[in-house]
Amino acid sequence: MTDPRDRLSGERGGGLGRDQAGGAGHDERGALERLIDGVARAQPPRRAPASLETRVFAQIAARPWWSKGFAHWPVLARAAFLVASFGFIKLTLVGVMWVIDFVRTSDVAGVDALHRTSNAVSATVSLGSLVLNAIPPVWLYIGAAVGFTLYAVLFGLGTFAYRTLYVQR
Amino acid sequence: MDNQAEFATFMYSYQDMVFSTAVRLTGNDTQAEDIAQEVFIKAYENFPTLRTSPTAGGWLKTVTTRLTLNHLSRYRRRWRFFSEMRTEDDLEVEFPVPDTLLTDLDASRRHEIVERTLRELPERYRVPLVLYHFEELSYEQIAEQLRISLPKVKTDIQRGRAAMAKLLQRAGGV
Repeated sequence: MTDPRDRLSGERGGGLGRDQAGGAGHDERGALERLIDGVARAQPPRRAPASLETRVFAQIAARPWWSKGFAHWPVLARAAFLVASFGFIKLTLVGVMWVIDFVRTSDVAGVDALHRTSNAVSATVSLGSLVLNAIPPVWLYIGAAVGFTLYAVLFGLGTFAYRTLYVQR
Repeated sequence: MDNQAEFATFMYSYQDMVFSTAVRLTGNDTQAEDIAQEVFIKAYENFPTLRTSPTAGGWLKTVTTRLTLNHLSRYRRRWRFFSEMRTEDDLEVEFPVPDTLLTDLDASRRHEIVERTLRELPERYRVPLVLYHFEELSYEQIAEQLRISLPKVKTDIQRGRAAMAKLLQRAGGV
Protein backbone atom coordinates (compact mmCIF):
# COMPACT_ATOMS: atom_id res chain seq x y z
CA MET A 1 0.00 0.00 0.00
CA THR A 2 1.35 3.42 -0.94
CA ASP A 3 2.38 5.72 1.81
CA PRO A 4 0.62 9.07 1.25
CA ARG A 5 3.80 10.90 2.22
CA ASP A 6 5.60 9.09 -0.59
CA ARG A 7 2.75 9.89 -2.94
CA LEU A 8 2.89 13.54 -1.93
CA SER A 9 6.62 13.88 -2.36
CA GLY A 10 6.43 12.01 -5.66
CA GLU A 11 3.64 14.13 -7.04
CA ARG A 12 4.98 17.34 -5.67
CA GLY A 13 8.48 16.93 -7.04
CA GLY A 14 10.19 16.08 -3.77
CA GLY A 15 7.95 18.06 -1.47
CA LEU A 16 8.65 21.63 -2.51
CA GLY A 17 7.11 24.36 -0.43
CA ARG A 18 4.25 26.44 -1.72
CA ASP A 19 6.47 29.37 -2.60
CA GLN A 20 9.01 27.22 -4.41
CA ALA A 21 6.96 25.20 -6.86
CA GLY A 22 5.91 26.62 -10.20
CA GLY A 23 2.25 27.12 -11.23
CA ALA A 24 0.01 28.81 -8.69
CA GLY A 25 -3.03 26.52 -9.17
CA HIS A 26 -1.00 23.34 -8.98
CA ASP A 27 0.94 24.74 -6.04
CA GLU A 28 -2.23 25.52 -4.11
CA ARG A 29 -3.60 22.06 -4.83
CA GLY A 30 -0.39 20.46 -3.57
CA ALA A 31 -0.43 22.55 -0.43
CA LEU A 32 -4.03 21.59 0.19
CA GLU A 33 -3.23 17.92 -0.30
CA ARG A 34 -0.42 18.11 2.24
CA LEU A 35 -2.59 20.03 4.65
CA ILE A 36 -5.43 17.48 4.56
CA ASP A 37 -2.94 14.65 4.70
CA GLY A 38 -1.46 16.16 7.86
CA VAL A 39 -4.94 16.44 9.39
CA ALA A 40 -5.71 12.80 8.51
CA ARG A 41 -2.41 11.53 9.90
CA ALA A 42 -2.90 13.34 13.19
CA GLN A 43 -6.35 11.86 13.63
CA PRO A 44 -6.53 8.87 16.01
CA PRO A 45 -8.98 6.01 15.34
CA ARG A 46 -12.52 6.51 16.56
CA ARG A 47 -13.38 4.49 19.63
CA ALA A 48 -15.78 1.64 18.83
CA PRO A 49 -19.00 1.72 20.87
CA ALA A 50 -19.05 -0.48 23.95
CA SER A 51 -22.13 -2.24 22.62
CA LEU A 52 -20.26 -3.62 19.58
CA GLU A 53 -18.63 -6.55 21.36
CA THR A 54 -21.88 -7.52 23.07
CA ARG A 55 -23.74 -7.39 19.77
CA VAL A 56 -21.14 -9.50 17.96
CA PHE A 57 -21.08 -12.20 20.65
CA ALA A 58 -24.87 -12.22 20.86
CA GLN A 59 -25.06 -12.79 17.11
CA ILE A 60 -22.42 -15.51 17.27
CA ALA A 61 -24.38 -17.27 20.03
CA ALA A 62 -27.64 -16.91 18.12
CA ARG A 63 -26.31 -18.55 14.97
CA PRO A 64 -28.04 -21.87 14.16
CA TRP A 65 -25.91 -24.97 14.74
CA TRP A 66 -25.70 -25.83 11.03
CA SER A 67 -24.03 -22.53 10.19
CA LYS A 68 -21.21 -23.26 12.64
CA GLY A 69 -18.24 -25.55 11.99
CA PHE A 70 -18.79 -29.34 11.85
CA ALA A 71 -17.02 -29.73 15.18
CA HIS A 72 -19.72 -27.60 16.83
CA TRP A 73 -22.64 -29.62 15.48
CA PRO A 74 -24.70 -31.76 17.89
CA VAL A 75 -23.55 -35.41 18.03
CA LEU A 76 -26.78 -36.69 16.48
CA ALA A 77 -26.51 -34.24 13.57
CA ARG A 78 -22.89 -35.23 12.97
CA ALA A 79 -23.80 -38.94 12.96
CA ALA A 80 -26.74 -38.33 10.62
CA PHE A 81 -24.54 -36.30 8.29
CA LEU A 82 -21.92 -39.08 8.12
CA VAL A 83 -24.55 -41.75 7.45
CA ALA A 84 -26.15 -39.58 4.76
CA SER A 85 -22.76 -38.90 3.16
CA PHE A 86 -21.87 -42.60 2.98
CA GLY A 87 -25.36 -43.34 1.66
CA PHE A 88 -24.97 -40.73 -1.05
CA ILE A 89 -21.57 -42.11 -2.10
CA LYS A 90 -22.95 -45.66 -2.25
CA LEU A 91 -25.99 -44.51 -4.21
CA THR A 92 -23.79 -42.67 -6.72
CA LEU A 93 -21.55 -45.71 -7.24
CA VAL A 94 -24.55 -48.01 -7.68
CA GLY A 95 -26.07 -45.55 -10.15
CA VAL A 96 -22.89 -45.32 -12.23
CA MET A 97 -22.53 -49.13 -12.33
CA TRP A 98 -26.16 -49.47 -13.35
CA VAL A 99 -25.73 -46.99 -16.27
CA ILE A 100 -22.58 -48.82 -17.46
CA ASP A 101 -24.36 -52.21 -17.38
CA PHE A 102 -27.38 -50.77 -19.14
CA VAL A 103 -25.28 -49.32 -21.99
CA ARG A 104 -23.37 -52.58 -22.39
CA THR A 105 -26.33 -54.90 -22.42
CA SER A 106 -29.09 -53.00 -24.18
CA ASP A 107 -29.40 -51.84 -27.77
CA VAL A 108 -29.90 -48.17 -27.06
CA ALA A 109 -30.73 -46.11 -30.18
CA GLY A 110 -28.02 -43.51 -29.55
CA VAL A 111 -25.31 -46.09 -28.92
CA ASP A 112 -26.30 -48.01 -32.05
CA ALA A 113 -26.14 -44.85 -34.18
CA LEU A 114 -22.71 -44.12 -32.75
CA HIS A 115 -21.48 -47.59 -33.69
CA ARG A 116 -22.82 -47.23 -37.25
CA THR A 117 -21.21 -43.80 -37.71
CA SER A 118 -17.92 -45.11 -36.42
CA ASN A 119 -18.08 -48.04 -38.86
CA ALA A 120 -18.87 -45.71 -41.79
CA VAL A 121 -15.91 -43.43 -41.01
CA SER A 122 -13.61 -46.42 -40.66
CA ALA A 123 -14.78 -47.86 -44.02
CA THR A 124 -14.27 -44.51 -45.81
CA VAL A 125 -10.73 -44.17 -44.43
CA SER A 126 -9.93 -47.75 -45.54
CA LEU A 127 -11.27 -47.06 -49.04
CA GLY A 128 -9.26 -43.84 -49.36
CA SER A 129 -6.12 -45.60 -48.24
CA LEU A 130 -6.73 -48.41 -50.78
CA VAL A 131 -7.22 -45.95 -53.69
CA LEU A 132 -4.12 -43.96 -52.68
CA ASN A 133 -2.01 -47.12 -52.64
CA ALA A 134 -3.35 -48.19 -56.05
CA ILE A 135 -2.23 -44.95 -57.79
CA PRO A 136 1.43 -45.00 -58.98
CA PRO A 137 3.57 -42.47 -57.05
CA VAL A 138 4.65 -40.66 -60.27
CA TRP A 139 1.04 -39.77 -60.99
CA LEU A 140 0.72 -38.31 -57.51
CA TYR A 141 3.82 -36.13 -57.97
CA ILE A 142 2.57 -34.95 -61.37
CA GLY A 143 -0.86 -34.19 -59.85
CA ALA A 144 0.73 -32.18 -57.03
CA ALA A 145 2.90 -30.24 -59.51
CA VAL A 146 -0.10 -29.46 -61.73
CA GLY A 147 -2.10 -28.34 -58.70
CA PHE A 148 0.71 -26.04 -57.51
CA THR A 149 1.17 -24.59 -61.04
CA LEU A 150 -2.54 -23.88 -61.40
CA TYR A 151 -2.55 -22.20 -57.99
CA ALA A 152 0.44 -20.01 -58.91
CA VAL A 153 -1.10 -19.07 -62.28
CA LEU A 154 -4.40 -18.20 -60.67
CA PHE A 155 -2.62 -16.12 -58.00
CA GLY A 156 -0.63 -14.29 -60.71
CA LEU A 157 -3.72 -13.60 -62.78
CA GLY A 158 -5.55 -12.35 -59.72
CA THR A 159 -2.71 -9.96 -58.86
CA PHE A 160 -2.49 -8.70 -62.43
CA ALA A 161 -6.23 -8.17 -62.61
CA TYR A 162 -6.24 -6.30 -59.29
CA ARG A 163 -3.41 -3.98 -60.31
CA THR A 164 -4.71 -3.19 -63.77
CA LEU A 165 -8.44 -3.14 -63.24
CA TYR A 166 -8.81 -1.85 -59.69
CA VAL A 167 -5.74 0.05 -58.41
CA GLN A 168 -5.13 2.11 -61.56
CA ARG A 169 -8.74 3.16 -61.88
CA MET B 1 -7.49 -19.60 26.34
CA ASP B 2 -10.69 -20.86 24.72
CA ASN B 3 -11.84 -19.82 21.28
CA GLN B 4 -14.33 -17.20 22.48
CA ALA B 5 -11.86 -15.52 24.80
CA GLU B 6 -9.22 -15.53 22.09
CA PHE B 7 -11.65 -13.98 19.64
CA ALA B 8 -12.62 -11.33 22.23
CA THR B 9 -8.94 -10.35 22.51
CA PHE B 10 -8.62 -10.29 18.72
CA MET B 11 -11.71 -8.13 18.43
CA TYR B 12 -10.53 -5.76 21.13
CA SER B 13 -7.31 -5.19 19.16
CA TYR B 14 -9.05 -4.27 15.93
CA GLN B 15 -12.49 -2.94 16.76
CA ASP B 16 -11.48 0.74 16.81
CA MET B 17 -9.78 0.44 13.44
CA VAL B 18 -12.78 -1.32 11.87
CA PHE B 19 -15.27 1.11 13.36
CA SER B 20 -13.18 4.14 12.32
CA THR B 21 -13.03 3.02 8.71
CA ALA B 22 -16.76 2.36 8.58
CA VAL B 23 -17.81 5.54 10.39
CA ARG B 24 -15.58 7.81 8.33
CA LEU B 25 -16.86 6.32 5.09
CA THR B 26 -20.53 6.32 6.04
CA GLY B 27 -20.55 9.41 8.25
CA ASN B 28 -23.06 7.63 10.45
CA ASP B 29 -22.37 5.91 13.81
CA THR B 30 -25.32 3.51 13.70
CA GLN B 31 -24.60 2.28 10.19
CA ALA B 32 -20.91 1.97 11.04
CA GLU B 33 -21.69 -0.19 14.08
CA ASP B 34 -23.88 -2.47 11.93
CA ILE B 35 -21.09 -2.80 9.38
CA ALA B 36 -18.46 -3.43 12.09
CA GLN B 37 -20.68 -6.17 13.53
CA GLU B 38 -20.94 -7.81 10.12
CA VAL B 39 -17.17 -7.58 9.66
CA PHE B 40 -16.49 -9.31 12.99
CA ILE B 41 -19.01 -12.07 12.24
CA LYS B 42 -17.07 -12.75 9.04
CA ALA B 43 -13.84 -12.58 11.04
CA TYR B 44 -15.22 -15.15 13.48
CA GLU B 45 -16.06 -17.50 10.62
CA ASN B 46 -12.49 -17.15 9.37
CA PHE B 47 -10.89 -17.03 12.80
CA PRO B 48 -9.00 -20.35 12.49
CA THR B 49 -6.98 -18.71 9.69
CA LEU B 50 -6.96 -15.14 10.99
CA ARG B 51 -5.84 -15.91 14.53
CA THR B 52 -2.28 -16.61 13.39
CA SER B 53 -2.23 -14.49 10.25
CA PRO B 54 0.14 -11.51 10.24
CA THR B 55 -2.15 -9.84 7.68
CA ALA B 56 -5.32 -10.04 9.77
CA GLY B 57 -5.44 -6.24 10.06
CA GLY B 58 -5.25 -5.83 6.30
CA TRP B 59 -7.93 -8.46 5.82
CA LEU B 60 -10.23 -6.64 8.23
CA LYS B 61 -9.59 -3.29 6.54
CA THR B 62 -10.35 -4.75 3.11
CA VAL B 63 -13.54 -6.43 4.27
CA THR B 64 -14.68 -3.29 6.11
CA THR B 65 -14.08 -1.09 3.09
CA ARG B 66 -15.84 -3.54 0.76
CA LEU B 67 -18.87 -3.95 3.02
CA THR B 68 -19.14 -0.21 3.59
CA LEU B 69 -18.94 0.55 -0.12
CA ASN B 70 -21.56 -2.11 -0.80
CA HIS B 71 -23.71 -0.45 1.81
CA LEU B 72 -23.25 2.93 0.13
CA SER B 73 -23.57 1.64 -3.41
CA ARG B 74 -27.07 2.85 -4.03
CA TYR B 75 -26.01 6.35 -3.05
CA ARG B 76 -22.86 5.99 -5.10
CA ARG B 77 -24.83 5.94 -8.36
CA ARG B 78 -26.47 9.22 -7.52
CA TRP B 79 -23.20 10.80 -6.45
CA ARG B 80 -21.52 9.65 -9.67
CA PHE B 81 -24.30 11.22 -11.69
CA PHE B 82 -24.06 14.60 -10.01
CA SER B 83 -20.30 14.47 -9.95
CA GLU B 84 -20.18 14.02 -13.71
CA MET B 85 -22.62 16.87 -14.31
CA ARG B 86 -20.12 19.39 -13.02
CA THR B 87 -17.42 20.98 -15.14
CA GLU B 88 -13.72 20.70 -14.38
CA ASP B 89 -13.47 24.48 -13.86
CA ASP B 90 -14.21 24.38 -10.16
CA LEU B 91 -11.16 22.19 -9.60
CA GLU B 92 -9.15 25.26 -8.77
CA VAL B 93 -8.79 26.12 -5.11
CA GLU B 94 -10.50 29.47 -4.79
CA PHE B 95 -9.28 30.52 -1.36
CA PRO B 96 -5.87 31.00 0.26
CA VAL B 97 -4.77 27.66 1.66
CA PRO B 98 -3.61 28.06 5.25
CA ASP B 99 -0.33 26.49 6.36
CA THR B 100 -1.98 24.80 9.34
CA LEU B 101 -5.47 24.18 10.61
CA LEU B 102 -6.92 24.16 14.15
CA THR B 103 -3.50 24.45 15.77
CA ASP B 104 -4.73 26.73 18.53
CA LEU B 105 -7.15 24.08 19.79
CA ASP B 106 -6.35 21.23 22.15
CA ALA B 107 -5.98 17.77 20.62
CA SER B 108 -9.29 16.29 21.70
CA ARG B 109 -11.25 19.30 20.46
CA ARG B 110 -9.34 19.21 17.17
CA HIS B 111 -10.05 15.48 16.69
CA GLU B 112 -13.71 16.05 17.41
CA ILE B 113 -13.92 18.87 14.86
CA VAL B 114 -12.22 16.76 12.18
CA GLU B 115 -14.64 13.87 12.73
CA ARG B 116 -17.61 16.23 12.64
CA THR B 117 -16.30 17.87 9.48
CA LEU B 118 -16.00 14.47 7.79
CA ARG B 119 -19.61 13.75 8.67
CA GLU B 120 -20.67 17.09 7.19
CA LEU B 121 -18.93 16.50 3.87
CA PRO B 122 -21.17 15.39 1.00
CA GLU B 123 -20.80 11.68 0.43
CA ARG B 124 -19.43 12.10 -3.10
CA TYR B 125 -16.44 13.94 -1.61
CA ARG B 126 -16.14 12.11 1.69
CA VAL B 127 -15.82 8.57 0.35
CA PRO B 128 -12.89 9.12 -2.05
CA LEU B 129 -11.24 11.55 0.37
CA VAL B 130 -11.36 9.05 3.25
CA LEU B 131 -10.15 6.23 1.02
CA TYR B 132 -7.18 8.33 -0.08
CA HIS B 133 -6.13 10.18 3.06
CA PHE B 134 -7.31 7.88 5.85
CA GLU B 135 -7.27 4.42 4.25
CA GLU B 136 -4.19 5.21 2.16
CA LEU B 137 -5.47 3.74 -1.08
CA SER B 138 -3.98 4.98 -4.34
CA TYR B 139 -6.03 6.89 -6.91
CA GLU B 140 -6.07 3.77 -9.10
CA GLN B 141 -7.33 1.56 -6.27
CA ILE B 142 -10.07 4.06 -5.44
CA ALA B 143 -11.14 4.27 -9.08
CA GLU B 144 -11.34 0.48 -9.16
CA GLN B 145 -13.25 0.22 -5.89
CA LEU B 146 -15.74 2.93 -6.79
CA ARG B 147 -15.90 1.93 -10.45
CA ILE B 148 -15.36 5.48 -11.65
CA SER B 149 -12.69 6.93 -13.90
CA LEU B 150 -9.30 8.01 -12.60
CA PRO B 151 -9.74 11.71 -13.53
CA LYS B 152 -13.09 11.67 -11.72
CA VAL B 153 -11.47 10.27 -8.59
CA LYS B 154 -8.82 12.99 -8.64
CA THR B 155 -11.45 15.68 -9.21
CA ASP B 156 -13.67 14.46 -6.39
CA ILE B 157 -10.77 14.16 -3.95
CA GLN B 158 -9.55 17.65 -4.83
CA ARG B 159 -13.01 19.10 -4.32
CA GLY B 160 -13.31 17.13 -1.09
CA ARG B 161 -10.06 18.57 0.22
CA ALA B 162 -11.18 22.10 -0.59
CA ALA B 163 -14.57 21.55 1.03
CA MET B 164 -12.98 20.00 4.11
CA ALA B 165 -10.44 22.79 4.49
CA LYS B 166 -13.20 25.39 4.26
CA LEU B 167 -15.30 23.57 6.87
CA LEU B 168 -12.31 23.17 9.18
CA GLN B 169 -11.41 26.83 8.83
CA ARG B 170 -14.98 27.80 9.67
CA ALA B 171 -15.13 25.38 12.61
CA GLY B 172 -11.79 26.62 13.96
CA GLY B 173 -12.86 30.23 13.68
CA VAL B 174 -9.95 31.16 11.39
